[in-house]
Amino acid sequence: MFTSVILAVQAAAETPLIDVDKVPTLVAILIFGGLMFLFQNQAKKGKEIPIRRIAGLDALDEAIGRSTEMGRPVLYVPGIDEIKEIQTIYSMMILRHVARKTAEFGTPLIVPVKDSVVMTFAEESVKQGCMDAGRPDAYIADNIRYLSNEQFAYCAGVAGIMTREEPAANIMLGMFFAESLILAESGFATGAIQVAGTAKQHQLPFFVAACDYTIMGEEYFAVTAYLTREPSLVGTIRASDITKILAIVLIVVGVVLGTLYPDGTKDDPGPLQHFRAFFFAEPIAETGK
Amino acid sequence: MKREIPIAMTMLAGLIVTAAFFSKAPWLQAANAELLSWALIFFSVAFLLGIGNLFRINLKQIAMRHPDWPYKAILLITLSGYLILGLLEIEGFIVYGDGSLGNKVYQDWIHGAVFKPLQATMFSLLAFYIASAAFRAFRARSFEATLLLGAGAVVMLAQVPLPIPGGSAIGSIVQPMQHFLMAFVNTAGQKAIIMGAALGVLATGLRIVLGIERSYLSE
Repeated sequence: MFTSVILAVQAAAETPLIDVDKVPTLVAILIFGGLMFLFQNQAKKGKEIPIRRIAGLDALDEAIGRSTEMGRPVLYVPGIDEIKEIQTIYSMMILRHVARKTAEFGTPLIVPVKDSVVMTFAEESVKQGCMDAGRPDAYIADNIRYLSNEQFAYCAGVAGIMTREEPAANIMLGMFFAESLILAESGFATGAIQVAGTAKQHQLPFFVAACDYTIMGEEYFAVTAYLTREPSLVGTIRASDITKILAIVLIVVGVVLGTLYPDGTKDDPGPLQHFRAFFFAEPIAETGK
Repeated sequence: MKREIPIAMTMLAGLIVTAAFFSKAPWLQAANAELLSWALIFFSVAFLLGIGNLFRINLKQIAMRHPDWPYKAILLITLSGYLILGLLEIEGFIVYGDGSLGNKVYQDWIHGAVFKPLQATMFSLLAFYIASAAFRAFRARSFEATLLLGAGAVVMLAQVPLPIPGGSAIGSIVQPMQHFLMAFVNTAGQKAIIMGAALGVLATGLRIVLGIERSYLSE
């Protein structure tokens, strides 16, 4: 293995280090990274960075509290994707907060998983959440359940847990596919309070229709910052907002240019094509009138 | 050190994979490919952990005579049986009617005749759940819900013309409205969600790779 890497290093001298086509993406990431550090430092120095109220996130505590009052467990479904999916990784971070709350309240937390690697992460997150709450004894290993690595077998398993064990709160946060509505409707039928969240836009309508609260898109990635208010995390939210404003400005400029100068000539491609070539490294098309 | 070493490893691996995306340098590509193959091996081995978890939890419940213990026994017997059958077939211990061996005839049959229909059954439930969820979502309780109801009705009428006289005429009237809703309103909304989510993914990725986000690690 190392020989192949060394041989590859030797061959590197003849290859350009940066892929020119990806320079705009790299520049965008560097700008975003710079903004992130800027706002993190500001937040660490005590500058208040407000985050708007997100009803779905406030509802997490409400849902856990309701389960505690009813003496029934909380069900946490971390989606069905593997750990290499960033939404699943993020779901594990949220799970830690949920586990801390359930441990504080002494409410059982059931976490069915579809992937064995996710299972080990979930075990660790729940264990850590219980320790954060000062209740390591609240960790119940048997409640982190590997069901199946097949989508609908897993879905059937989770629906079975909802029906048999009747959790009073179903929290579904992560990457979901076609099973989203089956899970949400099964949970609705049991009368549980349901909080769902995903950045997968195709599944959002199902969650909106079937759940009490839905955390959608970018809100999903603001959960840890919202719950902990840690300056390093809150700063990234402000950086996301500023980058989004920059993107909106670029879109508006592109729309205006595209409307005013829809086409150019081969010799003079026009402002829109130059704009696209500059910002997105797209080759100027030879579409003359 | 229990936290620092994993963070350093995460940073190193994350930076290599990110750099390999932006560079065509062969040594970076080789390092990236090597890391990805390690990940594959890791995932394969971790699969055994999942099976171990299944056995541990279900055996305990069978031993304690949980009310559902027969189902749990069926699960473990099926799991073990399918695994053993597959191993016997692949290793050539089962000779088929035509004298051949080493195929997965019985295992494939179980997969096609039992597993796939069961999976399709679960999937088909979706049709009923869509109807029940739509029934609740389309109740005009508020202005937003009424808008949703109107938009949903237009899209449905354009997709499936009414089976009544003049149904196709209604369809031809609502089709341009459906096109407008889908191509402009719906697409614009989806793009906005995608853009926000993409920035969230980027922020989370950077936080993890740079070691700012550590809540996934034990303390």
